[in-house]
Amino acid sequence: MRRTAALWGVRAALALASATSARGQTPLHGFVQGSYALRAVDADCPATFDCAVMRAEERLQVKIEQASRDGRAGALARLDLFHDALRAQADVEVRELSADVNLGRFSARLGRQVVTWGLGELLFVNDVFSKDWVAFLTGAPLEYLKLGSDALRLGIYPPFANAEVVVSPVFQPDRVPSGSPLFFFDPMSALTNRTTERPAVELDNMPVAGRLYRSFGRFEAALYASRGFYGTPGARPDNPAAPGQLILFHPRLATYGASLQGPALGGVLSFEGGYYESLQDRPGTDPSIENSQARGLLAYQLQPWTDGSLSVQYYVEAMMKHDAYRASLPPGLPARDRYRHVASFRLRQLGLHQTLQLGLFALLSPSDQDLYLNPSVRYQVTDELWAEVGGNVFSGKEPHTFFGQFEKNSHVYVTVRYAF
Amino acid sequence: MLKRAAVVIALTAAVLPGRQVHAQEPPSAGTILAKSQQAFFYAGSDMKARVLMTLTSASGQKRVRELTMLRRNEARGGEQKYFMYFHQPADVKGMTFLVVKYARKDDDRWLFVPAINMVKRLAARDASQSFVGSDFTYEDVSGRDLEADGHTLLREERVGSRDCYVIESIARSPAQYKRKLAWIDRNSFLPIKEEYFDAKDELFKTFSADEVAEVGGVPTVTKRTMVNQKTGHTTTVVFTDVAYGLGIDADIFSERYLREPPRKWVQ
Repeated sequence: MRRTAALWGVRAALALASATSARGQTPLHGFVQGSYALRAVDADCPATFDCAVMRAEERLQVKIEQASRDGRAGALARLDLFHDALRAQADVEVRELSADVNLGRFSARLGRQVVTWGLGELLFVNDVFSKDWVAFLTGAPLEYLKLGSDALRLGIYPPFANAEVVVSPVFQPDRVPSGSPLFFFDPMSALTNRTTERPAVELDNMPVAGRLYRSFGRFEAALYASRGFYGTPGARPDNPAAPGQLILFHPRLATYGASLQGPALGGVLSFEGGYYESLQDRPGTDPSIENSQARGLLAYQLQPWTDGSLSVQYYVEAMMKHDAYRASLPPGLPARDRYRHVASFRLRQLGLHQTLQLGLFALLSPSDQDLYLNPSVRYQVTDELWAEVGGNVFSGKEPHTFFGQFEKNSHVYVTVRYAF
Repeated sequence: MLKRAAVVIALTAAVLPGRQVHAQEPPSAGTILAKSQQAFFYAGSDMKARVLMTLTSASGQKRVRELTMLRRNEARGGEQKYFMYFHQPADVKGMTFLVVKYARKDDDRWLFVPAINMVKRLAARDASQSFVGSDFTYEDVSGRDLEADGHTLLREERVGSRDCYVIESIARSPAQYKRKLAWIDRNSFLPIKEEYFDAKDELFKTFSADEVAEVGGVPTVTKRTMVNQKTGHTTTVVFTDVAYGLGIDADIFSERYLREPPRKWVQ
């Protein structure tokens, strides 16, 4: 049913595009892409597991934009048709589908849209919008880490500040690993009978996020707040004494934060902080629900030489009720540290008239003793076609830390994209 | 009036070959370049243009960058804002780019990536960085501080049908070049030709203003070429739909409009 509707949407969009292309400009754009990833470590896979190949996917993205003559109203569709060879399935994914109005000091967009806030690179403090960790862990292009939100976004722009509010009628969880082809830390792996509880669709459960921002001279400041649910589920057995089923659920979450960014030391200096209030477990005594957390990020970016860019980040997250968490943690489960520290480093070098891009991105956690590395080479063969080869390497001392748990998912990937 | 005087001078100079005849002393190199910057980078209170850049490699491979550029001069000395919306290549269509240029400070730059709806502030220390992979640097696109070089008026010379001042600029602060020669049109003060010399004093880059047109009374370089003499790589830039003094609102040059490109201007 969903698929029929989506296919109808593609057909309507194509009809719209061909009708308006008579104006001389074709509004139909998009790309054809192949993306493939091969596991780069010996994972000793069980028979039920797709082991060697982690991604084998062909994708057509169709992007259509239309606007009224005066530019005050517009519509955007970004639809992906894809074939997943690993699962032998083809489907349609609505990446974005929305209409908008833009009137002086006010704008609004209704429909599926991608919202990105905050200053971190792969370290999220105030960006609470849905993410696709499966795409990230299986070597998809980075833009696929962000999922569209079905939402109403309102922008109000009085002279003294800018405000944005995003309201989603239905909570959309993150896409998280749940099995083949991904390995991850699962403390209750024996419990295979699992069910997922989604927050009921009702007024009180609509995720809301807001941002207030303005600049002060060359500095930009922002305040953030949100109310919704943890994107990554918590897990609790139905009966702790004799568990028969594992219930995955999304606890309530409220976040508050601020950021500041501006020129300093010959580069750009950024600070972002946030408080994650775990509304369903304020005392921190429920081990199946995340502790309330404070998160802080300091980042610095500079251009050390021509066509090069270098950025470093330092990120800390602190569990606010660590003692209560330790006391309530069931025996046998590995305990998390009170503080998680992550340092990141990115070096990017362009060459051959910016058609060649060499990149190295690293996230290292001295507290978890684990790391993530992403070396990559991208070459823009023509204006239309680029190819990228790279690796996503995870490693850790212990199998339960954030990056360490993904060690067996380390892979090399290749993506080729023809844009039109 | 000034223009007519210049024409008379030019004619006189042409009639009397071999002799430099002037009604008055030529202006200083600094004055000429200040006027040239005004004419080339600051014309009008604001400006809109559709910019088509064609990058051609020595082997003949072509790449195209097409964008709408909005430029606004701020009241504060020399500050300018540039808003760019990319139409081509397809892979970056819808990308927007905001540059705030200051007289004696590094630029501020922001890039908006539509696929992830993200605005990213970019560190911009190096004004010698190539602009979108072309043979033009950021400085070539938006100008370089006059105080960053030492200038000398060498001579006056004809380039095609234009009488030009020839000015040598020697870099005093880091630049892509060690020395630059510029042929500045005596009438319009637009640069007609430039030659760039590297640390070994070898010619490595040449600029030419290939077409100049009057747009609303403002002489405008509508076609220009930069050739890398060492690699043979060439970039040709054609401006169309040029207009000045449109009253482009200062608000356009903001994070909001990076995320919500002003369709009225960029369609």
